[in-house]
Amino acid sequence: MGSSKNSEDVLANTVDSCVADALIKLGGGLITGTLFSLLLFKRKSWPAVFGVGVGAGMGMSNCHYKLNMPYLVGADMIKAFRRNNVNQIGKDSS
Amino acid sequence: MWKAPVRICSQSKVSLQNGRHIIRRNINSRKSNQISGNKFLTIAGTAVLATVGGSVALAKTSDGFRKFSEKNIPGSSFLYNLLLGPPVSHIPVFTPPVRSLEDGLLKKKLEREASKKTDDVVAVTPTDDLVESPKSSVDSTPLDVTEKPIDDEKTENPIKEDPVGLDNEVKLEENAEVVNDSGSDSSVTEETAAVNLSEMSSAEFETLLKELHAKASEAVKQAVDAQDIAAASIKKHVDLVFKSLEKIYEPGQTQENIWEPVFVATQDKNEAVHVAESRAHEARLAVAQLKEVVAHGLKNDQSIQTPDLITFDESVARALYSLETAKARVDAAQSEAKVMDEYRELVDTARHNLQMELSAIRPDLSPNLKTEGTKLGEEEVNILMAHAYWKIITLQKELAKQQSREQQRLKGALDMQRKEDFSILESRLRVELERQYYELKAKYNQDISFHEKTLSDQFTQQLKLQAAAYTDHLNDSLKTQYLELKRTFEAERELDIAKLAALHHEDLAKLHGMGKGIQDAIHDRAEKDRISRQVRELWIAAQSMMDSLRSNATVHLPWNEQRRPLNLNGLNQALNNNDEFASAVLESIPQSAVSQGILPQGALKERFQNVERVCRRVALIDENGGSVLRYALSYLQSMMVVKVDARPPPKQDEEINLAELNTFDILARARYHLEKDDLEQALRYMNLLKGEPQNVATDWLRELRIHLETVQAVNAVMTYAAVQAIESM
Repeated sequence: MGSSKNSEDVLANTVDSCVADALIKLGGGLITGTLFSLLLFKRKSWPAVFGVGVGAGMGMSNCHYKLNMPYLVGADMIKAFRRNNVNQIGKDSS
Repeated sequence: MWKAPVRICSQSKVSLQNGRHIIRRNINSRKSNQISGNKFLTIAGTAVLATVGGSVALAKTSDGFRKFSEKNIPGSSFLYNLLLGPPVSHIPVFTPPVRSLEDGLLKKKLEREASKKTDDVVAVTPTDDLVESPKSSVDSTPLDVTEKPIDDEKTENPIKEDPVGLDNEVKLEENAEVVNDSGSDSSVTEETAAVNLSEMSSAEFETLLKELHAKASEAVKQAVDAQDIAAASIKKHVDLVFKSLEKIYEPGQTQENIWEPVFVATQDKNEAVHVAESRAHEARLAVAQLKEVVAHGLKNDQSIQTPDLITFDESVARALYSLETAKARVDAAQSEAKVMDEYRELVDTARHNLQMELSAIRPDLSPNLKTEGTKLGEEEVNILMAHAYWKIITLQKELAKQQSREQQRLKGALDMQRKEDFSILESRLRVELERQYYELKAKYNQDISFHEKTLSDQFTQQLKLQAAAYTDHLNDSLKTQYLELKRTFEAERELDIAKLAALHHEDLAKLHGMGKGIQDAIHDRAEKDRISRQVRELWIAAQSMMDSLRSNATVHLPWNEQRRPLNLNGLNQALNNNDEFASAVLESIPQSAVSQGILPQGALKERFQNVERVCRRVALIDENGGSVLRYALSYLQSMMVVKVDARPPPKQDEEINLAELNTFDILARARYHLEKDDLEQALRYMNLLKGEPQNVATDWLRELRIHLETVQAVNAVMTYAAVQAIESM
């Protein structure tokens, strides 16, 4: 199943993308760390780990962002009114 | 963040839950009846009587008063006619002159001739005095006593002419009677034989008239001529006789000398007279015929057709007049002849006497005394002289006597002459008057006929006009009458027709109404049946759709592929676009349902399972969003919360604090209702989701909403169809 448009599958897709992304990030981080460790840091483990961590963190951050994306308030969601009325934050059905 | 799990744990169950005369008063009776004394009435009655009597007397004497009163007083004419007789006008009326016996008899004879038209014997002999045709000499002597001299005059016997003369007129009556009564046969009947005038047509009548007229005029002319000749010859004869009588004493004349011309003249006279008489007779006959025919024509009112009739009448009168005058001339001549005869006779007698006397004295004396001159002796002379003297004395005596008687005789003769003259005058006058009368009558008849003609023409013209006017009037009146009658009858007929038509229309209307009612009922029934059929079809369609929508049957296909576009064909067909409500309702179905499709109920339930699962996993995420950690935590929570299959909803009266419900509750209740097929309640509950579960359930909710909308529409249609079906039943 690809990305289905069903709302109940959005999460799964997100999580999937998250995971994929995190893995990619991990791998990338790992690779980068490894590389760094190999190259720069004389085969110490800590750059790899650091890289993995960075990768994981990035992955997590992306995941966080993806998961929170529906809740983020964009400029297009705000309706501007005159001074009399209270500025209402309307949420369109996005 | 931790309230939900705590609560869930605390709670044991999670349940899921679908349109003038004048009255004479009899005074006496009045008086006797009303004894009380109506004096006033008595006086009034008397006055009235007096008035009436006076007016009657005055009317008798005065015509003017009579006229006046008749004009102004209504009942007076009746009264006068009753008492006095009709009004008499005193103007003398012109009557034709009274005729003498002669003319009257002539008339009578002619009338009798006219009356004897057929082969009856006709009294041919005219009633003339002297004339009689030789044929009638066969008759007995009393008839011919006066007529015979004609024949006998050939022998020149004057004596026999004695009776001839003034006695003729006296004997006319006898003659006429005898003639008329004798009924002598004659061959002249042919003239008036077998002509029946009344059977002739007008043309024949005219021709006959013309013939007769021609014949009559010719005969008359001839008669007049002959009579003139006769008169002339008679005159001649008379003269000759006179001359001879004179001459006879002259010397040197023989008897034959003298008497021969006389004889000849006598013969001539006889012939002429005879011819004249016959001609006159013929003429009279012809004229009589013509007159008879004319009279017949006049009697039969054929004067208008034959205008010559009047002229014929006139000519008849004229002819008669001429005949009369000719006869008169002949009569005059003949009277002269008579006189002459008498004179001659006397002379002869005297001479004879003298002769006798002389012969007595001297027998040897010849009668021709004058011629011979024999010598006489003295004695003889003396005797002769004595005789002569005696003769003279005697003659003187007689002369004296005669002279003495002359006066008387003269008087007597004058009287007689006067009488004769008077009678002749009378007769002449009568003839003249008669002629004038006939002329006048003819003229009068002419005028009358002329006027008749003109008036009759005018009359016929007027009659024609009147007839035309009358016919026009008749036509008009007939037309108007016809129109009126037609109108009346048409009106009646219209009425009747209207009545009948009304009745008929009533019946028809009734029948029509019934028929219409039946038809309408049938149509309604049919319509209802059709509608009901349609509706049933609709219902069936809707029902089938509902079934398909609501089917819990999990088809072999996963729910994703169960989505199929809403097939409204069946419904549309069933509707035939006739139903506004249904079509409106069907239009309210969202387009996405038609285009993209609807999940049936089973699919929805199936999908809900997944949705529920996911919702449980993100139950901890609310509107503010969540981090990854929270997501992990919610996932963990969901693993820990027990999934309860069914949770019966609280009772109806129990209020539910919707704010207190958490996701699991909601999901449980929704599930319960879903299992009960109560999608609306499930929807209601699912709408309470907040946060991430809401996001997760969005699509499902949308689908559910579409589904529910569709179901609602179809339900509405079905209900509508059901209602209609019920209605149509």
